[in-house]
Amino acid sequence: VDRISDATLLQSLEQLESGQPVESILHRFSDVATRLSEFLETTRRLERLSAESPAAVQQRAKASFLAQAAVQAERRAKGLAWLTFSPGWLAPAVAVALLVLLVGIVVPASASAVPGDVLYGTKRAVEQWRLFIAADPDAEAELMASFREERFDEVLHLLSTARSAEVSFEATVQSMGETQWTVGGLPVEVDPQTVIVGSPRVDAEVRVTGLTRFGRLYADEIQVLDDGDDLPGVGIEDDDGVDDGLSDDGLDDQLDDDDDQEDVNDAVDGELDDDDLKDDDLDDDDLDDDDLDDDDLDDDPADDPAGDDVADDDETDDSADNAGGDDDGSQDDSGTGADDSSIDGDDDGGDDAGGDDADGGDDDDDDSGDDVDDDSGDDVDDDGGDDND
Amino acid sequence: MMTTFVQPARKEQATAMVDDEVLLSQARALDQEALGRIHERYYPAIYRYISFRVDDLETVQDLTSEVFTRFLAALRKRLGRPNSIGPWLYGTASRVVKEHYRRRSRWAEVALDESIGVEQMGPDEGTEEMWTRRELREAIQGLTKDQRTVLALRFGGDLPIKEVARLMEKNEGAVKMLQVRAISALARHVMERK
Repeated sequence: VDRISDATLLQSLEQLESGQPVESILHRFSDVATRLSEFLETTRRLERLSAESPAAVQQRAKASFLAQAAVQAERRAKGLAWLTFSPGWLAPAVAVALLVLLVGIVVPASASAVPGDVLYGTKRAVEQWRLFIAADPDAEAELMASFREERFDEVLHLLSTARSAEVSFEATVQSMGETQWTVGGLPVEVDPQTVIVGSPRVDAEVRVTGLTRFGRLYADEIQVLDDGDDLPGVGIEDDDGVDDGLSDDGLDDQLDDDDDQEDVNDAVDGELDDDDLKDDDLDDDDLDDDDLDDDDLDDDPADDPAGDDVADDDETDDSADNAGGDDDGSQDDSGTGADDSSIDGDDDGGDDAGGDDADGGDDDDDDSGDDVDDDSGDDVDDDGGDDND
Repeated sequence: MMTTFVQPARKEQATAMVDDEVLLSQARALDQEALGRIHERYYPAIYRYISFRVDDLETVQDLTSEVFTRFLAALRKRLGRPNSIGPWLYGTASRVVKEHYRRRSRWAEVALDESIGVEQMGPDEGTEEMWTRRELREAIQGLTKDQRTVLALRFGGDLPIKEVARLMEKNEGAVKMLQVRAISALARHVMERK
């Protein structure tokens, strides 16, 4: 197509549009016929790209359009025109009304949502909000307890309706079999893939994260919550409670990741440059190795006297991090995670591409829209926006 | 004031029609007959225009109806009422399509699932035809915005060069060149794929 002159393309297009058959046009420009045929064929395909509206569809649309108009006319006749000549305060008023609707209808409706439901996110968000505005620690603890029960009830509901969803709940271990535990009266399927965090025992409080399927609950992870012989100090319990309440299923996973990531960071800080950390994708191999290093260090503090500088650094970092607590760890992690994703770039690239496409489409529309707008004045913008509202 | 108005389709141009301006003033009074005529006259063109850009025919139906609903709503405004029919409808159609794609891309981002957010064809479309259409629409997305606009108005809106030029505020020669360049680019794309 490149080698055909613009004049030829213009001419052939005009001939095609005036109804001349492709063959005769190609015959006329026989020296570039092959490439020209691709050009004309593409034109034909563009002509076929649009769809004609089926008569029935158009009839239905017209009927509904006229019905809308009739309603509008009736309203106008009834003197409700003031609604349509909307004063400035009406839009905010409508917005407030919608908000009230949202709070009044959606929020209560979400109360019975279980994992997998559309409104489940709303339900959890409302819970977080209620925790946030809780008057005092007692009220907060009460809420936590009721949310804990809610999680358990959700699992019961999912199991009784044989629905599949990812769940997380807390309860007491009652029995521990080879492949099945009983937690809070529920049978929990346990297999070698199930991650056990802490040292579980009967009567221990645990958080079970897993999947309900066909009326059974398969555990991905069982985490012991009251591990160790710590006295049931108020502070500790509170901390536990807050963590439990604030973390959803995803967060639990992240916490584990945090630990791994910390180890990696520690090791990397000691052995690699920062640049390496940024540039290099952290391979699984690296991660394993680093973990091993850390383990070695932990197991053998006697390594230190051996005078290994790197090991020293690591040890120091480790203890500092541990002292710093989970919060530091998770912040580091999220920071690193963000870096990784932006550097790896696959996702971002995809997003950008998608965004560009959308933008491209927008621009296109904007352009034609603007042109049209100019013709019809500013009307279009105002109208479109208001109608949506 | 404008003296010429967009005709929805070339084949209908010859038909003597009540002037759009008269129709519009009747429509402002929510006259059922005038509104019915406007709908009859423009629905097929707007439908075609939107279907040029959007795969799924059910979505095309919805978006087309949305354009007319907005037209109706715009009529009742004291300020900013449409003072034309064709240009207003095409402009709104563009906006509605744009909003659709924006919604869709947002949805696709959230869903992170390639199968969601991709338009589906009607059940009676052959698979091969479906893919050529989708491929062509994707290739159109790769054009410049002016090129896309020309194609959408020419082939989607089925408007003559003169009208496209007026809507885009360009001279006819420029519109013709844009069209040729756009089709050439698409043809090149098709050849590269082969």
